[in-house]
Parts: sequence; C-alpha cells; structure tokens
Amino acid sequence: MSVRSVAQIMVVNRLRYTVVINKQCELKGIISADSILRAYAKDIDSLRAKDILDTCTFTTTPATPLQEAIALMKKRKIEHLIVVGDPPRDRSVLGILHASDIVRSMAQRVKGEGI
Amino acid sequence: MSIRVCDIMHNGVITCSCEESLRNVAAMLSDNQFRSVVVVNENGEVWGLITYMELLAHFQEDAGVIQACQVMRPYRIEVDPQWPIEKAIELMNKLKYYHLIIVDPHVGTRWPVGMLTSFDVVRYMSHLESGHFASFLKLHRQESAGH
Repeated sequence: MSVRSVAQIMVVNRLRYTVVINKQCELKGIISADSILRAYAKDIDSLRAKDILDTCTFTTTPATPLQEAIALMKKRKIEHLIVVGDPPRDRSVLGILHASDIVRSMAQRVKGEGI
Repeated sequence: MSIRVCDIMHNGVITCSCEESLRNVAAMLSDNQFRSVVVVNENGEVWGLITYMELLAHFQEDAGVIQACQVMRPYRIEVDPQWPIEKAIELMNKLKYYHLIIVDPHVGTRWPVGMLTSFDVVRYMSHLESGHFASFLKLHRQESAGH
C-alpha cells in the first residue's frame, strides 16, 4: 500500500496512528501522522507503507494496571501504547491505549463520574 | 504558487489562562476533542502549550490545585501564517514539535490565530478534498474485496 493511501485512510477516519499487522493479526509496527510528515518532499505514491513503518513499538496488555501503562508512556515520552494479547506467545493486536483515553478519564473524575 | 501555512492550518485555538486548573484543562481537551491548549497571559499573548503529555505527567495528582502555568511547556516559536509550508515542516521535523502555534504579526507576534499540526499536513498530502470521503471509502472497499 502506498503512503498516500495510508494518509487517505487516516484522514478519512480521523486517525493519527495506523497499526500495521500481518495476516495473523500480529503487530508489525505503527505509522503515525508524524512519520508521514517526514516523507513530505518524497513521492508518496511510490513510497510504500513499509518504508516509513516504525517497528520500534511499545505494547501493553489488557491486564496491565493503568498506572503501569501510564508510567511507560511517560518514560518513553509517547502518547500511545498498542494493546496486544499475551506476549510473547500472542502478539495479536487488540487495540490502542491513547493519552486521550486517559485524559478523558481525568475529565470524568472532574465531573464525579469516576474512572 | 507555493502553499502557505495559512492555506492548511486550522483557524482558532483553545486558550486558557495561566491560573486555570489542570482539571479544567483536561475537561477542555476532552470535551472539544482537541490535542492541545494554548496558555495565554493577561494580554492574550502566547505563554505556553499544554498537550496530552503534560497532563499524563500529573495523572495521579490532584488536578484541581495544579495551575496551567506550573505544567505548561514554555512556547517561544513564532510561525507566520504567510510562511511557505515547507519552512514550517522543516521546523517541525527539526524540533520534533508537531503542534505549531500560528501567530498574527499584524496584531502582535505573540497573538495566536491558529494551529498547524502534523495531521493538517497529512490531510494536505492525502490530496483529499472535503466531500470526497464517501467515494474514497467505496474505492477502498473495492480494493480490499479484490485482494
């Protein structure tokens, strides 16, 4: 898939990140708006998704305590963690935990709704 | 004719005062689905920026007693709306700063008029016009069915 196609999918769906998986739904990497930006002056019709793929990803699991996940995001200065099954046996992608999810829970605490 | 920053930036920013509580800033971001709040001084001039990362750092603390000026990232970059987009992108990549506050030099160099993010640039790079989304989605489904 070309980088322009990835950009179009992200824009249409208002996504800032696209998780790249293989046929077994295993995590291969992530493409962010920032990594597409870095390809600005290049021919993004011939450039492929794998060319700008960031394979250095940080993951968490559904069972990980939220505090632990936040600590990892703060330490690595990243806004998101990819939620996977039970590594290392299971690398299937289940979802993404984004800083906006955590900020929403902070705002809900404000309104007295709890986390 | 080259594209200028004002051609693809989004107009308007959410602002808060230096004394605003972090609790309210979190609510502003969440309610408006924005990714940053510009902290301004009493004259409405840019003072700093609060993004998700600044909020995350204080998740476990009492956000009601923390003020915006205590956690904001000081912001001293001045980006003119008339800059060519290439110049702004170069600045983003160099500083790894993906939220650029655009200031109006005619009003004052610290007066925020808009924001340019990496997502705005990606929207421009995608060559998608507003209103063409439905046809693109249909095209994508056909591509998927073909593979």
